[in-house]
Amino acid sequence: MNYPLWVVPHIGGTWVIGIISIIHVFISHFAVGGGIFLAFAEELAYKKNDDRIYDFLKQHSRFFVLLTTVAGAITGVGIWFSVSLVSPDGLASLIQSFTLAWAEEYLFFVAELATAFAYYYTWDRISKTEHLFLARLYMIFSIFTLVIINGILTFMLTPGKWMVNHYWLDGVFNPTYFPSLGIRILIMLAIAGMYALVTSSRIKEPRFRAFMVRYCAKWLLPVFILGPIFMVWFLTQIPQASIDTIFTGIQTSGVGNFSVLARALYLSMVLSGTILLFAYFGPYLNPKAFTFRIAIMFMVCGLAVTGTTEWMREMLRKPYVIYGYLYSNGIHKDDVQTISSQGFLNKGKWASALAQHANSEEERGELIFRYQCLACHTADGYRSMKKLLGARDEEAIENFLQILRKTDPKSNNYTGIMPTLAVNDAELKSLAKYLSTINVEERHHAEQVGAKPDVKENASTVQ
Amino acid sequence: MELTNLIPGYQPLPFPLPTWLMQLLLLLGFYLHALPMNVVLGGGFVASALFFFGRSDKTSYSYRAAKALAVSLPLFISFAVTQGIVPLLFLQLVYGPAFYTSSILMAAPWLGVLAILLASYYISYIVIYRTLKGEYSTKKASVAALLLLVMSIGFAAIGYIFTNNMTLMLHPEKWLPLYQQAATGMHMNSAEPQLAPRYLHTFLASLAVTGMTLGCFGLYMVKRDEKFSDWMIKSGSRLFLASTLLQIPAGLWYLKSLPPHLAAYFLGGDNLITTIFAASMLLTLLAILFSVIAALIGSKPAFIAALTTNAILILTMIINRHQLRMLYLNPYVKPDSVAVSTQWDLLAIFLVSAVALIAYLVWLSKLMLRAFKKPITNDDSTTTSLTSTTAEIAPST
Ligand code: HEC
Ligand code: HEM
Repeated sequence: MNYPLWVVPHIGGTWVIGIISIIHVFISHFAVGGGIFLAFAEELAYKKNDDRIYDFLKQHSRFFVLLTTVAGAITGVGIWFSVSLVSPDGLASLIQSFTLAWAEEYLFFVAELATAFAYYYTWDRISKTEHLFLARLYMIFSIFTLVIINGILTFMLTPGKWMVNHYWLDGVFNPTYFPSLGIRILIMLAIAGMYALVTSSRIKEPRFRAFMVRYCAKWLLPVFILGPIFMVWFLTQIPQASIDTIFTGIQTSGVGNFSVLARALYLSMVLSGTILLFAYFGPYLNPKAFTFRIAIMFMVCGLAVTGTTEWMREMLRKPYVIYGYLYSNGIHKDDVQTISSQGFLNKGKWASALAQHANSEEERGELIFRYQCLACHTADGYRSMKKLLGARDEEAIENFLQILRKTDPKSNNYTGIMPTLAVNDAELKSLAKYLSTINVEERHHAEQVGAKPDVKENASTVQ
Repeated sequence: MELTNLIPGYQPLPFPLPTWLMQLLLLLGFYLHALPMNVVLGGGFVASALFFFGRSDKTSYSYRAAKALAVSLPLFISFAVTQGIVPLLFLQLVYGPAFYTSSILMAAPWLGVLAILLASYYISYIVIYRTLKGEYSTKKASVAALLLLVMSIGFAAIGYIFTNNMTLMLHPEKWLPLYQQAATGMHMNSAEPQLAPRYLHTFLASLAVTGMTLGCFGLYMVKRDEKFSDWMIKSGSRLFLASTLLQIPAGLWYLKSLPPHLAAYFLGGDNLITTIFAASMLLTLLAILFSVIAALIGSKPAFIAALTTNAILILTMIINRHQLRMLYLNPYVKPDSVAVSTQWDLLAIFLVSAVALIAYLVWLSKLMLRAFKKPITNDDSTTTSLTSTTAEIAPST
């Protein structure tokens, strides 16, 4: 409401961030995991004094450097760019609190990049001992970038004591910091193994290929053994409402007993399980038969898991950017009360400026929709408002909005997924009026079929 | 409508640093971004032209200079991107209300920067791996010239988009009409009178900095190949000289394109601003003088003098650029109004780490220098092609 709101038709702003993030996560986790992999594999080569492993590493490190220093770095900046466009209030809050933490991460990032280039350019130019030392330094620096950024990422889900004292250290070392760090490192090792499988599959000599394929496959194991432990630890630390969102679902949302989140969780588990089984029966037990195509299949599965997992992490945080502090739509939780008595369209800078030019009730309603709903919905694409409203008529929509406006989870069971609607009575009517223009088709269709209008909300408001 | 009603507020949280320190880090960060960024922006075009002129003879100075530039470009791109993070962070912190807004208005091209950057960055590697490795041929050299041209057009577009955003953020009066036209972030700031001269100014500067870079390559290889080194210093200085002479009318045009009441600050209206502006004019004259000597007789001390003068000159220009932004935004964006709660502990950690990083980078550079003095130990290595090409530019065959 503070800023102009960027309208992204069909996919919505969330997916602009989402697409860039998924690619970035997959690459940056490789940057860290791959760093650990390179250091350990080089140690293996060093101890065995095996030139074949060295040759493999040279090959692999070229791919590594080209991928992480270019695509990794740029998609990282990309997340930043996209978040600043979609969620400027959220990013500004993070930056106002954690600038120096980011600055510190930047220092490690510079060290990491410089070491990556030095490592890559000095193959055969410095002694093997020195080169191994560079590999280890790279590993340490890249882990440190994770150590810092993990603090900011987990802060958004569990700000912990920061909520009380706004002290940066409490924000960084928040309740989910350590379990999340553990999970991420495990995932990184697995991703590193997957990437290295791709390089290994291209080795010509069969026996050495079998050796390397097997070695790389082992990197997939830790996450499956230790992952669940960290996952449970993680789940004990997140807000109860988020857990409810996963397991009980949103009864009234009409998606049945399984919430979308639970489905994503199961999907992610099934995919991971598939990877594990394949890794065990494929490259581990039967490394000779391993081919480039299978390696690529692993990568695709890995990307899918990364995608669903990141999406889940985002969903857990719903409806907040910073849990319990700032809603996804840029409204501070503490401001909701004042807004609902004084009105939304005269509060935020841009929202009120635009409202002065809105001449009809629908236009005002559209503005509220834009500022309070577009953060997660689109009119007719992703999480389509048209579909979700279904056959509700203006009155039913109004009743629905009345629920959305309540702060108490007992009378508003959307509190775990949607921000409390912050409007006054007149604005609520405008919003309902506007929304009823979106789903005209839907209503029309329902009337033809003869379905009864949705009365669920009427029931729950009566309660 | 009152324009101040359109300026988003800061978040209800304190700043982690005093404002002056944030401004200082913004300036310093942008300086460190601008130097490599200029080499990227100008270097690609120059390398492309040099490949084109030297395409039929791989021993020609033109070809070798082109190769030296092309091989080092990915490193400069990497520095430019990494160093961009610092000013981005502080720009958002201090001028977020203006900068987020203008970015949202031009969201599509703004995100496009990343797509273009990704493509151009990879092209810079393709040039090395596909056209500079293995057997030389005239055709490969021409392909290199062409690829570098495509890459450079990409970087030039990125710079243009940046200039659009940096100027759009200065004009709150344009925001609402643009947004009302379309909320999908498809705008640019193309009607801005300042845009063309400002961009031209940056572009000419990037050619000048590329000239200095060529000269630095020349200095680096004095011992290995004196003649080539001499040629590099002379041609680099000439490039610098030519673009800096063109900069005089371009700069005047830029000054004239500013609203008169703001231009006045540079011409005596404000002591500090005028002093820095005068200093930059003086430094320009000096740099021209030194580079004339270096261009004519290839004098190394004269080149080094031009180089140093130019480095300070760029800094003064950047300070002036920042002051111009403050002049525009002072009535609207007021970072001083935000409470400050300095995170001393984290600041101390940051400063100590920064010093440690510098020490580490020095150590690493020494290691690299030592590594590249010795001949390579394993000749059939595939991965070291990049670096061996760097070494190849020196020995004349
Ligand atoms: C923080 C993100 C978020 C915001 C902001 C948000 N929603 Fe939702 N909304 C969701 C999610 C998640 C669902 C569940 C989607 C599903 O079931 O597929 C949902 C579901 C819905 C549904 C279907 C509910 C049902 O039980 O039928 C409606 C209607 C709806 N939202 C309207 C709105 C309106 C109106 C606004 C703005 C006032 C809004 N939403 C803002 C996340 C959000
Ligand atoms: C390598 C390709 C790039 C080029 C050619 C480039 C070019 C430019 C140019 C020309 C400007 C000055 C615009 C003006 O004031 O008129 C600029 C400013 C800036 N660039 Fe870059 N840029 C590049 C990459 C990046 C990246 C990746 C980032 C972010 C990480 C970045 C961050 C910035 C910032 C923050 C400024 C403004 C600084 C300030 O106003 O104080 N740049 N860039």
